Amino acid sequence: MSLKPLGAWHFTVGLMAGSTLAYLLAVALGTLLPSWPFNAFFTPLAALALVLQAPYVWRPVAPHGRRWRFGAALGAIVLALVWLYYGHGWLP
Amino acid sequence: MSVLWVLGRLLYRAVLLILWLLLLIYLVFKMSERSDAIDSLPAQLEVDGVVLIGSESGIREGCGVAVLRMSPTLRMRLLREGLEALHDARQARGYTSEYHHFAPWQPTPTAGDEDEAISPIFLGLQCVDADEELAARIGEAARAKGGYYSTKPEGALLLLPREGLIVLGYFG
Repeated sequence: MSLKPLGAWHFTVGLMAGSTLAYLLAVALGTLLPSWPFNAFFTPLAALALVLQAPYVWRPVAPHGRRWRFGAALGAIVLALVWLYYGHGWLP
Repeated sequence: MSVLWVLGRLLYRAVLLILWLLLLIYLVFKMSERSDAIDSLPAQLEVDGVVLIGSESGIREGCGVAVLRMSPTLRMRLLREGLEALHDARQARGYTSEYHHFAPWQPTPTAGDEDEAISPIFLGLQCVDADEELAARIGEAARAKGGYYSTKPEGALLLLPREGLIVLGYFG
């Protein structure tokens, strides 16, 4: 019985890492731009999630490192767009 | 490779996924809260962005506040036309019920009983533990000339053209 590190999983982990990191950065920016929601429960939870992903951050397993990086970039970009929309997005 | 190792690894992956899903659910909730706050405003009040939206809910009661940036168009219209610009702004854009119907608009400053009328705003600001400077700015502007306010069941709406803010509060 084995659990092989699949490319799809590394992409998903990258997605999780990128979006969680972008969320935490946006919360940090929230001290300057208060429109982003800080939550006393979800923010520590996001920090914990990022810590748990540490093994993937410092050792993205080849040949899936590229997928991890793609997932992370995509997650961070999507979260940044959500943040921009929340604070400054088009409103009817 | 032992079964325990595989189970541990599956558990680790499940924890990662659950934590991420919780964050996603929270963000979806915040986006829906934002959309609900905008739907609670009359269509004539154009919004340019969000400063702060927060709420706290109990089983049947809740409180909260939405502080939004006023669009430059609305700001200019209010400064130019005053109360007349708000004549038709009485029903929330997203709701048709009486609960979301606003009373006739009044000019600030508020004092005495009028202060009581917009108390849902200050209770809402306290409820979400809003930034003190923002709360003080809204309080001072409400007690000065140049703003407009209206009430609805369990809520109040305050327009501060000089500050460029729309403040919706509810309590109850």
